[in-house]
Amino acid sequence: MFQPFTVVYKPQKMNNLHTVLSCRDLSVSYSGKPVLWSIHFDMPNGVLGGIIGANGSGKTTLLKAIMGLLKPQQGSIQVLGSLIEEAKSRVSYVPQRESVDWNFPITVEEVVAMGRYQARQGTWRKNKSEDNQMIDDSLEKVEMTSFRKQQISQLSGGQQQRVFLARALCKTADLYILDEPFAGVDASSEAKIWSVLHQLKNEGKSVLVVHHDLQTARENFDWLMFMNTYLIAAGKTEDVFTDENLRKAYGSNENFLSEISQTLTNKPGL
Amino acid sequence: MDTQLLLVFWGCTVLGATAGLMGSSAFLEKKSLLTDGLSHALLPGLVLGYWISQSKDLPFLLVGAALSSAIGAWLSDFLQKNSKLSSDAAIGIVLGGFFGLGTLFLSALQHAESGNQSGLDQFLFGKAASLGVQHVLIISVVCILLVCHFVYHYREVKIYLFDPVYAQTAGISSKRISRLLLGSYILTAAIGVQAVGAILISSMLILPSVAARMWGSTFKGMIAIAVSIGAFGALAGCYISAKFAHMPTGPVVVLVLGSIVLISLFVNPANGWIKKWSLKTIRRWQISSENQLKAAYLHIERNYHPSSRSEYLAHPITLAGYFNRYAQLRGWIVRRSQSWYFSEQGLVCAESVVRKHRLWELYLNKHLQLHPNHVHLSAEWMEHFLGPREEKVLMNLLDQPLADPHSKQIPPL
Repeated sequence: MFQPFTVVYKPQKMNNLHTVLSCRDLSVSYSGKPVLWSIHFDMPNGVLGGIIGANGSGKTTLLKAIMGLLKPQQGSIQVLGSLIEEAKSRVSYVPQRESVDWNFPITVEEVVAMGRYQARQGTWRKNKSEDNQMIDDSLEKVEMTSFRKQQISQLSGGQQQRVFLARALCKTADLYILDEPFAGVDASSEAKIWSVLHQLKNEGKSVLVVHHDLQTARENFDWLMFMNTYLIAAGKTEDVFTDENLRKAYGSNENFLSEISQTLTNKPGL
Repeated sequence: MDTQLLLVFWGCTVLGATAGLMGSSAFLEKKSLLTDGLSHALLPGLVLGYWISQSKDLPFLLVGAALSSAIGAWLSDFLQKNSKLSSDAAIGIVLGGFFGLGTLFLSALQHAESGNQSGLDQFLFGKAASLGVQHVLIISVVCILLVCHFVYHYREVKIYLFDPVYAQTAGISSKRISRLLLGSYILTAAIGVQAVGAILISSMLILPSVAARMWGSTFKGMIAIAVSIGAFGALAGCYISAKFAHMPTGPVVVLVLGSIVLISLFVNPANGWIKKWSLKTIRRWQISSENQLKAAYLHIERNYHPSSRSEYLAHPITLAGYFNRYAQLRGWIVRRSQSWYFSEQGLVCAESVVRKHRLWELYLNKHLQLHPNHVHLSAEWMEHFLGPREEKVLMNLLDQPLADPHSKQIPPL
């Protein structure tokens, strides 16, 4: 596809140990329509971070770009100091719950075991006891041990989400990225998921969560980023959680930007 | 049995098993329709291969078939990516277009060399009996390779089928796996085309997995069942078509597999129709009986204002005609001097229904703060679904109540 303004950045090794994730002027578009405009931020190491924004503000797109699932139009991303391709084994991703078919014939245990894929590659190299230990621990952490042998089709929304979380925990990573883990989740599951996330932070891991609820966001995240297709603010919660930023994130004061997006969508040749 | 027949049976069984395996994967990938498109797209390449080689030289035919099917797959993918067509429309275009082209080639060829046209229509409907040693050998080798390949990539395939996005983030190339699987579907269809025919080979992929999904609840289990059904269906189809004259293999195999699907729909353990219907009927009958007993109880309560429990046994009751016999069989009613009366057992049942009704009304009123005018309808429904355990819980929750929100007496437990 013709992309008129593509600039290829040469990724440089970052030696900053305090940064776990950095986006440099990241722009992403879907068949011509821009959905992210020059996102530029650094996420510090060891924080429980949240991404806040209205529907259609590009939160999921940002996560997908970070995970290397989408090709950015411009700009670059560094995860744990290197390109995502090299850092994949150290990043654990929890996609949106709705992204899979929950009628798939598979048990809870089998889904969680998928998290062990990278740790146990090659068909013949099997260290099952370590795997089982990890699976046990992960299920224990999300309190789903008793569902181990159950079909995933029998789970409630909150339980499904906890299974996804257990799969991510099974992969020992340094950065955990979660897409809307609280969407359609009951109160008790929500509490369990929060406690797991805090526990990860206490172990020195970094966590990045796409989130909706402002109340719990303020209480739980120590780093926040507000976006509305462009970056509004990113930083410590107490610094960026302001009325002004909230208004920018949820209000539609940047009409011109969406107007331009719309125009570009209908432009032939892009 | 002669060797030729055994050879054919062996080829069909192996083919059916492999088709069952690949079909499960296509089914779980939600690409069942694509396999239909792929198998129809085999035809033009098959006929061209025949025309170029001027014989039924197998490698030529198979390579031609696989190539044209691959082009079809690419085209449907290209159409989806570069237009606003949905996948079913794109597959429809490829399916119809390629098949039309194939039949055109076929009829042109038949007119061109009228002396040697016999056997060409077996590409359409299949004729397992015409399988030669070479063909069976090719089928066996390709099938074994496909199965080994699947087993080797088992973990990747499983993760990819369940969650392609996650697979990508775990370092599995979803694109590569999906291409490998697509190639497997094409190869399976190509080697089976002479035995089953281009039109129906896709059913051999789809039907076993559809039936297997109803029986197996685990990934491995489903695949194992699909493989067994595929092998059995193909073998049975071949046997029937070889045994009786003028029975093309393709339709027979498909009919055998189709019957298995039909039977599975009726009797599968998870939600087979027979189980569903019988459960529904039992439930309906239960509700209707409970309503009858309740009506009789309320009749006595309203007309005779009994002050003790024994009075309920002393007054005659009337039940609907069709129900009377059943209630008698269940021992709920007894006949004394031309009239029917509650038996002890029947009274316990009736009391239980009334109790559940009134407890539920009280619960809605006390705990959910609903006005007494708005609690009856919900109780009419819930009285049939609360069990003995819930009854006890409600009793304790409401402190062993004596009367419901309409000050009617709640029969004590």
